[in-house]
Amino acid sequence: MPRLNETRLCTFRLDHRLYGLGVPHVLEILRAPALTPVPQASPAIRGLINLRGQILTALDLRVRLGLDPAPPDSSLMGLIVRGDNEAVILLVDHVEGVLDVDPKTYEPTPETVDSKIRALVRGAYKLDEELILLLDLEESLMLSSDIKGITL
Amino acid sequence: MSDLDGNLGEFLDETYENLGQLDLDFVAIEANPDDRSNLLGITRTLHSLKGTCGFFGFTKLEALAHAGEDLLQRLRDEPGESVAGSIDALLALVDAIRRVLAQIEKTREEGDEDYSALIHRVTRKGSLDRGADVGLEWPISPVELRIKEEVLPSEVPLAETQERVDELASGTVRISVGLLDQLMDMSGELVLARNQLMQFAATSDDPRWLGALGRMSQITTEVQASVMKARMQPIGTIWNRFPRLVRDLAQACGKKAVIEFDGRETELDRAILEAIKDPLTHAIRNAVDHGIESPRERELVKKRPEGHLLLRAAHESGRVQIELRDDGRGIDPELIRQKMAQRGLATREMLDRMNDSEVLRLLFLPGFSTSESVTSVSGRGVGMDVVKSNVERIGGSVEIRSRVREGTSVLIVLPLTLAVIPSLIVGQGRARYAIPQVAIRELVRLDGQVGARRIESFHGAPVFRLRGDLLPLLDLGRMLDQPGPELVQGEQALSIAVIQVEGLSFGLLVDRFHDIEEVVVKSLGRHLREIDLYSGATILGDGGLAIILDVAGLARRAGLTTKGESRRTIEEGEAEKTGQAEPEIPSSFLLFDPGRGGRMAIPIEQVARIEEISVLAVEKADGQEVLLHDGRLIPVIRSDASSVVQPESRQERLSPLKVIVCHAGGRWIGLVVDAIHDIVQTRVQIHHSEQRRGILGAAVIEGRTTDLLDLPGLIEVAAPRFFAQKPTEGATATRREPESSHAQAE
Repeated sequence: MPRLNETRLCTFRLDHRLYGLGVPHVLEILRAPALTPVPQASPAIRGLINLRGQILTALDLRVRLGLDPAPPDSSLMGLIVRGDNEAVILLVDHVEGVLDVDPKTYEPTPETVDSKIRALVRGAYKLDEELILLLDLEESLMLSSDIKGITL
Repeated sequence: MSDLDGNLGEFLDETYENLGQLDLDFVAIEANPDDRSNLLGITRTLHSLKGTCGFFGFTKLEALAHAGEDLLQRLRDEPGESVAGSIDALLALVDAIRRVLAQIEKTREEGDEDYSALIHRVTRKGSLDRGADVGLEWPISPVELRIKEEVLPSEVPLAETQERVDELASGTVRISVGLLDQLMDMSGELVLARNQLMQFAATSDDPRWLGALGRMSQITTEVQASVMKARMQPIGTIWNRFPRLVRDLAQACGKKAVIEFDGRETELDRAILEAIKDPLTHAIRNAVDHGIESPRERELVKKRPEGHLLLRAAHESGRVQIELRDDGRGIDPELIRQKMAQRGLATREMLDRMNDSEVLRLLFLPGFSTSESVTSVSGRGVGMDVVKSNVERIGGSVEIRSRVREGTSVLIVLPLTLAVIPSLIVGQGRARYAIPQVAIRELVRLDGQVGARRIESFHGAPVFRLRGDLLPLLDLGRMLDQPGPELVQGEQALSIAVIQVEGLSFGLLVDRFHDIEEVVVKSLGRHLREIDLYSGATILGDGGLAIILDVAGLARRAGLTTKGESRRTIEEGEAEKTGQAEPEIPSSFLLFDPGRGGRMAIPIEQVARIEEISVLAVEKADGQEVLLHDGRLIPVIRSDASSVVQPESRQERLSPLKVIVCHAGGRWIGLVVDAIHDIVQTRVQIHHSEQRRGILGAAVIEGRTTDLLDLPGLIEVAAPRFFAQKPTEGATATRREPESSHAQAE
């Protein structure tokens, strides 16, 4: 079941698919942030960003979700989210906006989806046209070595 | 509720602080039982603790404090009472109070440990008749005690009023560490914003704008300095518990020992204080456990029966030196040699070649310290590697000096603050990285021709010949998965930072050197913390980011492990022998041959780079020989002020010139020398035997008389016109800006 506060979603696109994240998680949205790459880091890490004097790590959600990486020249947008005690930036193709969804339209992720992805996308809200895949923030920010397998 | 929580936190902080003071007072009383003036302070501390306990309803604490207070009262009133006999009981009482406090901190409750036996022991110490009339007969009823306080209201307010007055008079406020850290961060940001504005200002010449900016810049610097100062705490705050520690340790080992302090007021950043606490405790433990002899043994060698430890702290040239000295048995280097050889850690020849101070440094080897057999013989070494690695983690260094039968001293040198570290910014590919300056021994730049000859392949691994020694060479680009062109091509100029860390030296090949910057260290997010190549990141003056390299991690990644220590340091005794006339200056010096086989030294802080340049690169401007170095025109001189390039040598195109690029007071020059010898770390005593301009005096370094270069003096003599106008502060600042933008444009 969706959590209580997750009927108001910040929605964004990754490789044309629509995803959503509970609005309370999102602190700020950045347009085309300047990235400083970090050699030797996990492939899901695109680099560091200077956000008004704070240095934040930027995760590439496409890589995290096992999608093809964005073309290198594409300008990405960043969602600043609050994880465990620290802010992290999630890079997405494009932020759509904020949407109130009806909890009754929620469906859990079917078993046929890869179990590693199922940990990240617990379910979806059904819109008339398409699905909003609901992202689990804590899982998305986990980059421990056991998860690295799918990001590679 | 949250308000009460805040009060509770404050109560705990304050009480812990007071307890630290109590420990000190007790030990002082024990050392000098006739002086009972200290008793009053202790009584008052316990009294105010008791008062606050009542407010929070902590009845056990209250009873403990009351028992102690009462005993002290009797000690004070009745000269017949034995103070020394009561100390153990009182110390046990303080420990019990600490345990209750720890419990409160964890659970907000006092816990159910039973302290009645202890209270009984404390109260029994005093004479019984007086104990009875203040209601201290066993068992104590805490409720009853509280009622007594209420019955005697006049006593409490009086004492409290007095404390309020003290607090106001001292002019201090408590401030949370979190807020302080936040202020520190923000003042760091302010400096960065200021730097950005300054770059911007270079394009303007509106005096009003520049004037306002100048003022803002000044204030920014002051704000940062003040915030830094606010974070500083006297080192005495962590020393308070040491007298007690020494006392307990000595008692446990059946020895007698006291510790004395010097330089308690020396201030250090609180983060460093926190980090140095454990290593110091460890070193003290070692000193008492292994260094100090038993009283009998000491008497046999005609020492005072009690061992003396001296803990000394002082600021020295922008760093803090902490020394722990004992007058124990010392460490016999011969025993270390034997053990090393026995355990097959080194061959006998190797050990015999090492001098005594090098052998002492073996105590820091990890494998060495864990063996009990070694420690029982050598007298030291339990976890000295831990001390060393803890100290090095915060950018410090440790050294052991010892004389057999006279004692041992552990010398720790620390940076003043962790928040801002001077770092060399290097360019690699399109990115910039920061290398903490403490790890950099020197910077070497080789032009293509020379470089190709100095870089060699050691069975495939690149090595670099530095004054005759082979240094392994790490290619930063390759280590960071950004392979550049083949290393040994000899086309491009090579920039090599010679790194010394954790006892190993290596050359780090980078694309470019930029400036030295004071960087504000920021930690990396949790996703990056496990990469051991980095220790943090920082925001540079232009708003860009630089990752701070962990050079020890680089070395580990490349498979380098500690094998020997830096080759040369000089025993401290040497300088002592030669005379006492002048103050000692502890420092690192670059030794070189100024020409005709002489020997000179220049403080390493004044040296920016060592380069080899072609004779043809030296040009003449306005009668002064100059060199274009990193986009800046610098005069080149020799130490005897003679001309650098003789007319005949220009034609012959002799071998390249060795140039020490150095700076003093914002003025840069190139000093042409015949040969570079080495870098040594030593204390020297300067003898003003020679009164030549450009020479500070002579000193004995490595057993040879060496002239110390006086760079400002030499600049006056050798290039008087080039710096006809001494640059003012403002002028250096604006001059530096184009420099750094040039460096980035490279």
